[in-house]
Amino acid sequence: MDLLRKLFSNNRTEKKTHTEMNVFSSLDKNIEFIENQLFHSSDLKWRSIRFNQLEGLIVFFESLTDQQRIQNEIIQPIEEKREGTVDKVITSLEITKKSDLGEVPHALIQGKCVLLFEGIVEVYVVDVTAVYKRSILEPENEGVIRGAHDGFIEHLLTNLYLVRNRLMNPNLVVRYYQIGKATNTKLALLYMQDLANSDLVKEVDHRISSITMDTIFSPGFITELIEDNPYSLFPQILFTERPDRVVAHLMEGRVAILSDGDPSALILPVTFFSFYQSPDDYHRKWMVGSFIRMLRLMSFIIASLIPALYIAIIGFHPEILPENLILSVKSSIDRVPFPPIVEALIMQLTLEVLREAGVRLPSRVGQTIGIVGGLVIGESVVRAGLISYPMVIVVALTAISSFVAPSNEISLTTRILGFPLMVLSAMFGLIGIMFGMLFILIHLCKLESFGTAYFAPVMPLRMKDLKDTFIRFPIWSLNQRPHDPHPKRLNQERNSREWEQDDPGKE
Amino acid sequence: MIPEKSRISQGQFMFIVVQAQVGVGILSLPNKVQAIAKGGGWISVLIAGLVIQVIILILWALCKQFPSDTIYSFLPKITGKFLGNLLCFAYIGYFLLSGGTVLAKFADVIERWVLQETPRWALLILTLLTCMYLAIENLRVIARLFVISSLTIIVMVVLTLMGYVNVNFSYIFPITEAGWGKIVKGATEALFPLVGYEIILVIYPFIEGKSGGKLKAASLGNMMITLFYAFEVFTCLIIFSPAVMPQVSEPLLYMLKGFSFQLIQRIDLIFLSVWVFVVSTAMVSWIYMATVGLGRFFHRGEHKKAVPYAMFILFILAMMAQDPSISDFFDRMLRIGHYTFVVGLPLILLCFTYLIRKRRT
Repeated sequence: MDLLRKLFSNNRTEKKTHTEMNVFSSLDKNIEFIENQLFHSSDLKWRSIRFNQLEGLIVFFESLTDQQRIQNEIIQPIEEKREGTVDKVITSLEITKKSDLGEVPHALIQGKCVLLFEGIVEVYVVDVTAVYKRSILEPENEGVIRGAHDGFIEHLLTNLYLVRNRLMNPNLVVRYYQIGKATNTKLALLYMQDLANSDLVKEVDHRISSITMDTIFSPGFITELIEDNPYSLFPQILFTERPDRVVAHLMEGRVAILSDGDPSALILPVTFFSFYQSPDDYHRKWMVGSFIRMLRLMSFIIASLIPALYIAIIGFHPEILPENLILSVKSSIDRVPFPPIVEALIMQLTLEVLREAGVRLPSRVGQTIGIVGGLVIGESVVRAGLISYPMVIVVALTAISSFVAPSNEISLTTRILGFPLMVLSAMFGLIGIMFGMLFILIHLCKLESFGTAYFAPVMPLRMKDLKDTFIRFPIWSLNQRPHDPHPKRLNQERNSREWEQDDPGKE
Repeated sequence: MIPEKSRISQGQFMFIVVQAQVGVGILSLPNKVQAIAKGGGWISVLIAGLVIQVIILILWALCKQFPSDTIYSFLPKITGKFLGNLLCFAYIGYFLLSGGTVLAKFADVIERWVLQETPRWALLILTLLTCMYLAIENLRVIARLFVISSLTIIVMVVLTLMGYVNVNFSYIFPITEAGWGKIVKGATEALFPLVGYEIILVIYPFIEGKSGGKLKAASLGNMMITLFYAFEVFTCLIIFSPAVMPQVSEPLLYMLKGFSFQLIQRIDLIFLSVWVFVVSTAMVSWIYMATVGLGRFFHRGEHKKAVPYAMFILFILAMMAQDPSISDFFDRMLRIGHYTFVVGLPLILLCFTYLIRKRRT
């Protein structure tokens, strides 16, 4: 057993090979060392300067640094003053002295530039990183009608700005991490000190720190590395590109992870129902918002159940439908050579293929796909007698209702859930579907992420939290935060409509 | 002693009792009590509920003596190691047999009403796999699901309420047509569909809070179920005339078959689908009761490891019960088992512990 465990464990500790190295007093030796450490990379540049009658060099990567800033903040002041202390002459914000030459290559690849002088055994590391970023746009796959239209971008600091700007509170804590030994990806962990449960924060910290992978190029990696149940079909961490959504979740005592180079924030721990909430709900009147939310949850049931129900009814219990309805359905089905399960599988797979093709194709070709998919497949397949009309309706209904979910992850999950249910219903009819649903329900009540039950507040039942689950109660009645992330403070408001009592009641 | 992960609240305990009690019996109960007690059948059910209340009181008083022990750990303490362990195995056998009978009856009904051509083993495997997925979990997860699946009882009540469009109250009169003696005799018949409250013997130490609250929760659960059963029986009695009743073995389903909505013609199928939930949870509770014991004896307290072969035993039992003579035999065994293990033995043990306590002081 031990041998097996050794073979499969990936807990091998690697030691960092970092040797301390003093800065040489000779410029040539220094530059030779740096060049060797960076393997004579072509974008490593240097320029000679003169300061305090000493020969000096500015070394930098032209691909990572802002050359305008080097010009303005370093070269220009030095050329003007010609003598003095380096720290005072250079106008950059961040300047550090280092005596270890081994650290210099690391500083260089982070976009810093290095100042070396002949005969001085110290180097100056100046931050002149270039920042190229796109503008702040509304996230395309999370659009809302009302509400804020800004979204995260690929630059971590901008994203942090977007959050902090909405949540001006000293309790908002940001913790930086650097993970991925080769890529050195920067992560930021955000939480409210006075709300987020300290056990939760500790657990997240622990899990992030134990990541030993060398490349982290997407938040998808992080989710897979830190989530509790990687074998579950259900997403347990919420992806969002909307700062307002992040702020709302932070204020419920949850934790957000932002990563440099990706516009999606990870929110955890979340429950199943978080995937069906949208900021839109809170901009509408509460009754309208509740209606739409019910519609969304209903669409989850429709998307995962309707094909299976159709198969069960057609194959096992046609008598459940009224007579004239079953006659018209039957007349369409009788021409089809396949059993309903094959029909359903063909159509569902076609749908998935079309969807995937639609994502990849540029928008101009995408229209063609729409025509091919909608007209050719939808219409001709029935004319040719391969698929029945009701089946096309069922599949279309499934597709549309699965896209209602505000989160892309859950919409995929719903459609995939449909497949095993279809197989069960083809084997056992309605009873099979019921067992399938029971199985899913059991699975949902087993799931826990970061100490939070996934199907809360329904399992375990907590009446107070149901106010903001299936329907959205008026905001002034939501006196308490949801209990599932175990926040430090539960109360979030008390009688915000106090003015009603103050009203003297003049007619 | 009891890990944090498997503690449950008293509310959850109530729903566990509810779910453990509702089982397969409900479909055929109206027919059986009517045969004995005639129009007073629903009173029989209420009497049975009262009797069970008394039994619950006995079980509770017994468990209270050992607040941190399941029946498997306090039996050897009372009767000595050898006899205690022997009795534990008898209990395990009783629980497994109960589970097996529930499964067999469930398969019978499904075969008769919905899936006439599906092989029995396939249905059994589907049921058992689903139950296994839940039974391997700790009690807290099981309790969570039980709470939610109690909603199905509301659905069942609503479906039954539709029967009230064409009722005839005169069918139940005179209420004491069969005489009080027969009504009480009917109560013994109604006792068996209501079993399942034995779960208190096994899960008592896992419940948080004071013992009084635990009794309250169990009684409340029992009351809800008794009322639910009485309601169902009452509805059937006023819908089917006394002459028709003996021919209808599952009156509830026949009753629902008669109604239809605009869109759904066969409400009995909907009722049966919902009933699947209820039966599965009842089965899980039997399996849990048995595997906790098996786990204690063979797997150092991990009931999860005992689940797969407990499932296999249930499968064999349910396959055997296909034969009516064997299933009748099982029924008789269960009756005896119920009286000895759930009524007689706990009463004796209770007196015994009291005597021991007294002698010590």
